[in-house]
Amino acid sequence: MITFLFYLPFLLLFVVIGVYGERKISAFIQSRYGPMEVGPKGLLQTIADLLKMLQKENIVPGAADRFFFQTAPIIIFIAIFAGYAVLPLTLGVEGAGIRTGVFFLLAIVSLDVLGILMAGWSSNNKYSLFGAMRSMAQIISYEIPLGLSVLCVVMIAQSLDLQEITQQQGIFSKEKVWLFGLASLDIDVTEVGGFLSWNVFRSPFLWLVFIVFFISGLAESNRAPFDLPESESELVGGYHTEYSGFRWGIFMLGEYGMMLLVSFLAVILFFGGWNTPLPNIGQAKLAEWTSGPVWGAFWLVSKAMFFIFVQMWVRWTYPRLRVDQLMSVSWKYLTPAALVLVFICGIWRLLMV
Amino acid sequence: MMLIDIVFYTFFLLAALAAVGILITKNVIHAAFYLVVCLISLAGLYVLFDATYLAVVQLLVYAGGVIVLLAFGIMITNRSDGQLLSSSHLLLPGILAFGGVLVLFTIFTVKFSPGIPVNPDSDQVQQMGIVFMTDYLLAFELIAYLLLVVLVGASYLAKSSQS
Repeated sequence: MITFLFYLPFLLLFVVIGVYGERKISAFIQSRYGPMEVGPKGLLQTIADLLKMLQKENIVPGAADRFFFQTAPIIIFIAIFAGYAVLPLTLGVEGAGIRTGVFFLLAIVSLDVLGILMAGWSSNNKYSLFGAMRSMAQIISYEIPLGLSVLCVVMIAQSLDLQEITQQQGIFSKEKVWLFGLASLDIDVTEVGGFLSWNVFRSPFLWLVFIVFFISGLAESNRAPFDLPESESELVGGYHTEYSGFRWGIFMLGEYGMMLLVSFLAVILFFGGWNTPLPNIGQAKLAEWTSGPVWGAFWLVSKAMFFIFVQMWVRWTYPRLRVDQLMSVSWKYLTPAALVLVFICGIWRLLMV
Repeated sequence: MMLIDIVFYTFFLLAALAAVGILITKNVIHAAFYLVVCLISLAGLYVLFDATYLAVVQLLVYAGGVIVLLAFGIMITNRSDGQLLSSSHLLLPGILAFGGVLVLFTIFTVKFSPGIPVNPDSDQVQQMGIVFMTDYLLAFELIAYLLLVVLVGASYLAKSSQS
């Protein structure tokens, strides 16, 4: 319940800051200034855009299926926000007590395809339908490497509960943490904590798994270089071509919500969740000084913000893929790589005990 | 009435109404989405019976996978106004079949119900994993082979259509 009261306002605030951040980052990457007019350094630009958007008329095309057209954005947002239910926030504050945690998250988030299909089909517009079809093919294909990469972490952590996965990666771990997870090295780093007990250091192959996870995560949230469903040069706007005003805003909310969810999941699964990156070094108990409920939320959010930045950086650096390239990346490269990594992580887990 | 009862009857009514909706709607796409509502409500009922793993599988496999493919197939063959299904509703055979299934279901649940209570605190995933790899290993492996054959077949079909 506490996580709900935190995540919902945080998501709304994040969208306002995220849109501004995205425009500034894209501008700096392209040697421009970005929004500068509204407020100091253009800080109020998103607020102004938001006000404009809310005043726009909600247009429903005459030949559209009215009920589907109006509920589709809501279904997309509900499906994505339901994924936040199982995210832990900090030490002692966990999400819904579902033992199948991360599995539930993957299942419920995949339902946003239904909303996208409803939006694309009910618009009665060929661009919208093409966008929805592309999006569906993309999301279903990339769910496989995403699921396999999550499976690697679950095998290392031996748990589906995100709070438990997080707890293992720091000084509050219930079991002993060996350096690089190798029990045969016999170097106990449970007391040291910090970044040495993160999953990517407990099992270094998770760095490769993380790359697979991150690419699939970008595709799942329909972000560039995987934004084919809404590629404006070919499909006008993809599945949200016909939407305007607040309903279009909910699509954007859904997209940023998915970005944030993927970043939180990456942090929790690979980079220690709410655990501090600073290790205890001798008398300088940095890990203990920077651990606690408030510090935990701070570390979780700031790590997630870093990955949001990386997502934006990737978006403005790489060109968009073609449709056939999109499919071959998923099926010919990511899925076999993820399968091999599942095998390697299974062996690594045997070395950890 | 407790809150859990309200939730239970909500899901129950949703599933039943959506199932009726599939029968009486004349639009194919609407029928597909009624089916989604029905399956998601069933997942909700599984959660109430402490079968969380089953509920998640229901969401992932049926609501997330099968239905999307179904809706996808219908959508690219239909326009937004949908296609009219058969207009003759065979009412009497429908009622008879429904009644028959209901009677059989009641008999089976009363006579053959195993009645094993699920321990809600147990780690169902771990238990299922252990059972799969010990008691039901043969069935598990056979299903794995079946899926492998399906995958090989699918990739073969996709390849031959290209050349």
